[in-house]
Amino acid sequence: MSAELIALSNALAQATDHAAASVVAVHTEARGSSSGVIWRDGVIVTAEHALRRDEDIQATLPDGRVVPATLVGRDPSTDIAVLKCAEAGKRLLEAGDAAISKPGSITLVVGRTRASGPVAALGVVSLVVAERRTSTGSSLAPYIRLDVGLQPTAVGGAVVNVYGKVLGIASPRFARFAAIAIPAATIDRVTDTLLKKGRIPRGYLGVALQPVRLPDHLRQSLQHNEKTAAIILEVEANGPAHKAGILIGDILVSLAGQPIARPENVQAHLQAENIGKTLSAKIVRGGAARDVSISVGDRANGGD
Amino acid sequence: MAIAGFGEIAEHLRRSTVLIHAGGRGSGSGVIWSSEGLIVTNAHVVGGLNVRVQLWDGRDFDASVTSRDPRCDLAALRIGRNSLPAAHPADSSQLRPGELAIAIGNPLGFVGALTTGVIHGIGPLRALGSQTWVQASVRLAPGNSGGPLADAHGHVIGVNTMVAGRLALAIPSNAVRDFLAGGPRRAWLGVAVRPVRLPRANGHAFGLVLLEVEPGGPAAQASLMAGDILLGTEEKSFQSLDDLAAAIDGPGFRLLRLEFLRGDYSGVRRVTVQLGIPQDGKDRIAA
Amino acid sequence: MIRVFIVAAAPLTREGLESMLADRRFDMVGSSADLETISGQFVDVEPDVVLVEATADAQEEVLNLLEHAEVAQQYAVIVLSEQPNAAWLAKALRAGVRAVLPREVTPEQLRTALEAAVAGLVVVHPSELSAVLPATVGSSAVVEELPEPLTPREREVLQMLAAGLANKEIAARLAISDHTVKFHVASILGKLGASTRTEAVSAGIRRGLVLL
Repeated sequence: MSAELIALSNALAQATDHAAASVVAVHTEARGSSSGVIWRDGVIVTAEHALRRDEDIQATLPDGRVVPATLVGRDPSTDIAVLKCAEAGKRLLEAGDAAISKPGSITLVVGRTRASGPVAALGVVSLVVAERRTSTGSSLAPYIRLDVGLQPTAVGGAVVNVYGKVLGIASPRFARFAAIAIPAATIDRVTDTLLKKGRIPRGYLGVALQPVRLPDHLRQSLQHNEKTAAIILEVEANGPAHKAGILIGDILVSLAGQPIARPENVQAHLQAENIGKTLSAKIVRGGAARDVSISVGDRANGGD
Repeated sequence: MAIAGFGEIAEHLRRSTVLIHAGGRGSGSGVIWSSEGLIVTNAHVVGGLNVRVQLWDGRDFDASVTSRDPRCDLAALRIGRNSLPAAHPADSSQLRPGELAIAIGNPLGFVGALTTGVIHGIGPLRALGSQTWVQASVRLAPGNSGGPLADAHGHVIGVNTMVAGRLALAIPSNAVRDFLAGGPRRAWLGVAVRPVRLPRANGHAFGLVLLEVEPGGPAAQASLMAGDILLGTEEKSFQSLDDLAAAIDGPGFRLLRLEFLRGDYSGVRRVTVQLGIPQDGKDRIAA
Repeated sequence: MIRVFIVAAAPLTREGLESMLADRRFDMVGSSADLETISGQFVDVEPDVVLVEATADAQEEVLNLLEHAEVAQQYAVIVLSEQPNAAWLAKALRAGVRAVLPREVTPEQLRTALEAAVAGLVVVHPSELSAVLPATVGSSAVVEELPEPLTPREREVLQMLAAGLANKEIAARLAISDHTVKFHVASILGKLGASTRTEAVSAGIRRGLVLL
């Protein structure tokens, strides 16, 4: 083999080794595991969707010890879960400058399994966009898509660039046939909130809805391009929707100027930043269109 | 069960099963339902065309389709013959899973072939609508459609209609009886609803919100729309979804007065719905 | 090689379909102008799949023939049709037809559908999906009813799961034991067909069981 290849191979192995000192295996059952990264002193961050249970969580540390970890909180909308684990030690990884990631930049995903220690996958950044919103309205900034073969055990592992700096943790979510690096800045924000509050604040309207088909004539007159809208099935007494005069049987067609086809579309408007904001809504009541204004409440106050 | 006994049962069943040719396009089976020449089969076997019926002994007759309902997939035929060996229908609601089931038919052109198995269950199947099916673990083949499914006594408890996986599905004999009686077809309102709890202020605690109103159906004709909340009939408030089903169930043409809320609930509204009108475009000739 | 038999009234259509399927995966074993005259031929020629064109005026007839001769139960049948209505579609699928495709289907879609049909799958074109999904009185046309609905207590617990509360907190608020909460959560997961709490919350939101 040529000298360049040998040098590259050594460098990759070294980068893996360096990152592995900050990567743990996370497991809740007898078999199977995912990975996590020591993000703060005594705090592990992992992929939320891969964490199957809330209790009896354990982590396999870089030194091989298996120790318990407790769940601080989950944020499915960014696929981040935060665990407390005093034995995990100090944060070692440095965050990379997201701005220098470009399509084609080499990245390593470093995970850890229970039995075999560190695992590595080599890939490149396939796409970088300054920000992308998930279907539930959360922001991933930047949105970094990776072309890498991501094993289930490496989900939640560290995504590092050629400088050995961490870009985020690896997840197959939010990218159809690929993986992304849940960005470090987003992880910082969510981790701080979860450590402080135990959960992510969400906006709240106090309505339950389900999709219904809109008759063609209404779709046309309202210029609603979706096949369905969402009908109100329940209105919490004294909740934000109730105060706005919304009734069971009303059909919600748009919110804040965006069409509503199904309940999940409403969720997209309920991120923490909208708490306290007034949103305009278009409803169909008794066959006629109407505009109402709803003031977004705080879920912590209503809806327990 | 003595082998001789079974042989007799099978023979009687065979004789009350007919082979049906509809326009020379292959065949299905039918059940002689009355000795006066009434034959029952699946609607899809006859397709409303000219039909020839062949009896167990090879005799061949023209048959006329006297009624056909694609919705429940049954058809009634008449041949100009009396003193035929008729089947003995039994009450399909008395069937128990595990009981012996016998199917006779004319699969793949073999006349009078018999297959056996057991009753698997009796009830609706999610993917196939709300009607009840007699499900039997009996192997059917093309040509068994329209033929009898019988119990251990040789009494007909269903008309074989289709195959779902390894199960044979038969229309229960009680449903055949209802079909022949000219109804009752399950009355139909043409809505999709969902139960909701209403704010006490209106005096009604429970309602059924309309999620969808089928175009052309009785509810649509009465100008009901999605978002309307049904409260009850003139006589009785709805306490559950079953109350609505009970209110619309029943044979023939009738008027039903419904109370409902619309829009800002500014008052209880009333509407009269016409139930039981046959749908346009449905192939239904009165028996 | 998949053996294909083409049934289409116009010679031009037959040729067009043959050329769309001119591919080493497919072997044209025969063609005919209508279903009636060929059932005998099938037995000789033993196709894997029969591709039938059903023009708008011939739809009912094609369906009758398919149901009656039970062709679709013996061979994989694919029907190319102009704008089938929902009832026709349902009957065709019940008669055992493996795929009903619109005339505008692309050659690649057609080839893929043929392969899928031969493999035993049923193929539905996206434009027909709404016709195939069930709609019955008493349940929503767009969201299917749960086979086993949630109890009022389970709905309460689901609402708390949606608020991000952990089992301990739920137990405290409802003044029940941790163990009972776990029991409710397990029941909720089962009824909603979810494998995690997050999935259960999403399913609940979609079904109007969770206040947003």
